[in-house]
Amino acid sequence: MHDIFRIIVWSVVGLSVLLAGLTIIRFKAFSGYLRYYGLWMINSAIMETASKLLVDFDYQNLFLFHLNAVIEYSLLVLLFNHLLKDIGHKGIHFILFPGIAVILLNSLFIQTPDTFNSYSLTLISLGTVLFCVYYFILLSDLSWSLDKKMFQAILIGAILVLHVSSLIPILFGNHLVLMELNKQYIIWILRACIVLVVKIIMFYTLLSYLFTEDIKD
Amino acid sequence: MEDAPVIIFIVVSMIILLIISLSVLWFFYHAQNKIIKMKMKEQAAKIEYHKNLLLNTIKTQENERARIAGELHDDVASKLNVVHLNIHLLKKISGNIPEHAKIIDQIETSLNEGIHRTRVISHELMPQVLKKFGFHYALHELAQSINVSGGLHLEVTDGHLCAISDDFKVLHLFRIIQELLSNTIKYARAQNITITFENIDDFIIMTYRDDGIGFDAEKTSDGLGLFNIKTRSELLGGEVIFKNDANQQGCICIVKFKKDE
Repeated sequence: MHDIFRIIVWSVVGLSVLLAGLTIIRFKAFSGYLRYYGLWMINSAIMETASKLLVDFDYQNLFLFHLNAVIEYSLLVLLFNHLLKDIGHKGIHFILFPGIAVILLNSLFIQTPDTFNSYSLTLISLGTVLFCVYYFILLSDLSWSLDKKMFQAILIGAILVLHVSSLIPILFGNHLVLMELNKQYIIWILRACIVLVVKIIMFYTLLSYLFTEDIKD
Repeated sequence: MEDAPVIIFIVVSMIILLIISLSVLWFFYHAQNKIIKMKMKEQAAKIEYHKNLLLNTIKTQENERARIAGELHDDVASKLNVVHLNIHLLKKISGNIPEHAKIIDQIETSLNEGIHRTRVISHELMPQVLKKFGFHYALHELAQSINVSGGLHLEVTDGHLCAISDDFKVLHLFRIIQELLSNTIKYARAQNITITFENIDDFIIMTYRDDGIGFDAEKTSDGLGLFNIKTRSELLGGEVIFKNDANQQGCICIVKFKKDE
């Protein structure tokens, strides 16, 4: 069980690093919302790699989740703000600072950095899932070119599936870490498999788009 | 709290949420497909409408050309001929007065020119030989009129293979050839033109080839001439292909359409 989990996790980390590398190399081809998406992928790669390495070297990695919560929340708010403005809707930039304040308050007073910050991460995932669904509803009405629409749908769909698969395990995160490791693996392997599939789709989508045409906002 | 129920709850919840989110994506994908199919249907209807509009425009244009050509030939030209006859009579009557004879000669010259121009215009509007003797003879007459100039040689091979009974189709093909010839004369700086016909399976293939400077049909924007050729080929129920010659000299135009049933 442990070996299977290790292989899947390292595959996910490897793909994330590849995605981040691809983003860094071709960052100039990214414009508008894709810049935030690119930064989100780079952040994911750094966080996943760092947390895996810290665990492998027997260090505490929980503080990384607190740091990640702030960065990921900011990037996702900026991303959806840009996407919504693009289609003529009101932006959501006004929730950026109150949200960061809530995350920091949780990290400072409720779930301190030596604890898993399940509350803030669950809220971020829930918010992301709701915004993704809302965005898909808005996207259905627009008469954009099919290529552009499908490309965006795959990218936002990837965020949706990643956060949906994280929602429940994160919510029960503090309970899960107290369980026997073998029992935990069922959940973590399931989640890691989903993440792996999503990352493969993201990698393939970005690769085909980046090397066939420049992505216009 | 016991571990097993929690794990089952988490796994089941994850799977349910995953199914829901995949359903959202699936719904989006199908909604898009539906929109695309609808748009394609609308587009096809628009294309069909424009095609019909074009067909009717060309039909009306050809009918009007035929009517004007008929009027010119039967009415104007015959009246001019009557005037010509009267001028002859006048010439005979006043033949002894030199001033009158000079004026009558001038009138006769202008009148002859007028009769000739009327015939030419009438012929250009609707080639009478095409109407009376058919495509094969009309094409040979066209070749003769071009070869007479000496600057350009047009050779037609196996014209008899092109047997079309529909008058409109004949006219479209003839107009295509006229348009191609006009382009060759205007732009190609060619010396030789060959038009060949082949019967392959159920199709008639007309190959027009000149040895001029050629042109790239991909890069050349559809001028009125090229547009007309393409449209008339479509109205023939066929297709047109433009090619450069293998040694990059001259132009090849292939018109392929179905034989009469």
